[in-house]
Amino acid sequence: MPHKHIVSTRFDDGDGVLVDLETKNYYQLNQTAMLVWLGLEKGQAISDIVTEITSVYDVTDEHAAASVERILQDFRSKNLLDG
Amino acid sequence: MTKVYAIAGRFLCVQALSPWSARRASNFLSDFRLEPVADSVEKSFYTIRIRSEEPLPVVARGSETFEVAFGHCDILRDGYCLAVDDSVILVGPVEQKSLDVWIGPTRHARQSLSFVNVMGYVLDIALRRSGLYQLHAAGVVYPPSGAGALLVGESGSGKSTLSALLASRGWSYLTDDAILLEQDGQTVRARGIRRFFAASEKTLAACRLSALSNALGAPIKSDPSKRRLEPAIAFPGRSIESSIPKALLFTSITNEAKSTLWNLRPSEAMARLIRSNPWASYDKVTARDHLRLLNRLVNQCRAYSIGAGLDIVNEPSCAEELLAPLLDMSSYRKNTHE
Repeated sequence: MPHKHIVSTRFDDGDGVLVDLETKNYYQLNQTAMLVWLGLEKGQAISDIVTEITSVYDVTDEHAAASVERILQDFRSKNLLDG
Repeated sequence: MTKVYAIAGRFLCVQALSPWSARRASNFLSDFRLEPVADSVEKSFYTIRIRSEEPLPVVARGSETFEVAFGHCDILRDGYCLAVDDSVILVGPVEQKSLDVWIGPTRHARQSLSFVNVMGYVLDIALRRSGLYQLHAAGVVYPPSGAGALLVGESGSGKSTLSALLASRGWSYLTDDAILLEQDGQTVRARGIRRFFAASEKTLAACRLSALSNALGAPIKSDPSKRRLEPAIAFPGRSIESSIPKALLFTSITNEAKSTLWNLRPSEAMARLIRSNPWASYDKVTARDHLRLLNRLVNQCRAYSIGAGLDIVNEPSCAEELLAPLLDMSSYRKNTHE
């Protein structure tokens, strides 16, 4: 789950920006990363997030799963996730 | 001295606890579009108390400390403390709806510029806690369409020059430097907060104003390279109170012959707004609302980066030719909530 001190903002083109109120850092997210983040905010299971990505983009399940895992690792490396 | 000021439907109460601070505070606030109102102390949403004849408070070190312009900030358990130019600002818990200022006893603290720096923070905090968020930007409105544009940039980026040039060409203006943003239903509304323009020699030469000598005042304390320009005299009848921005223009000055203009993605516009508004995330009490307001602003605007070249100052119509097409609503396809 996302840390409570992360504020997410989303734009009409699907991109987003996350702001960490503890570190004051901010991160620009593309549409895919924003989809993942919003799924996490809603408490969705990773498998459901992967399914959503395959419904939006013309990619295989394996490709979507690999993308989601890469994005999650990026979020963890920036200490944006709780646990 | 206790005075109540009205701005955008909010009331700020200023209690200056000494004659010295009363005079200085009154002078400082007279440069902003805060209207003194009588008999409204009970309506006050936020209270500012200013002391100049009491020793500085001893404040325990905060859980977090970071540098800010002219000083540093300590995050406390219930609020935060700013030490700026030998003075102290103590911001209490949100439910107190007040802050306290101690102007320090040193010569540096008593200088006009130091007082301006302190009061700049004080006003920003009080407005932010009242749901009004400052933006370091100029605001102009294109008369044929009524569409507003915010020119965002740091000092020296060309905001004053561009806004003065456009006002001299008949555009309406909100301000050349200090915008106040507020939620207005589903949209974000912008107001000018500072009454005067700060004009450099370049701005003055470019505008070619006929009423210039009457409109010009003393050098600006915080930037002596600029002089105070009274826009009501220089651009009579062109001031407006507020507008709904449709364009965000991030300005910078180049030494190129021709100006450049390119689109920005919304996320890049948001990133630039965050960089130019560090207090959007510093003040944790207001951070979420502040960031969501900036989010909404980005979503209701198109965003551009402008590199202002020499053509802007050499040819008076250049700024208008560059910006008018961006605000021509007949070609504006973005959905709005107006």
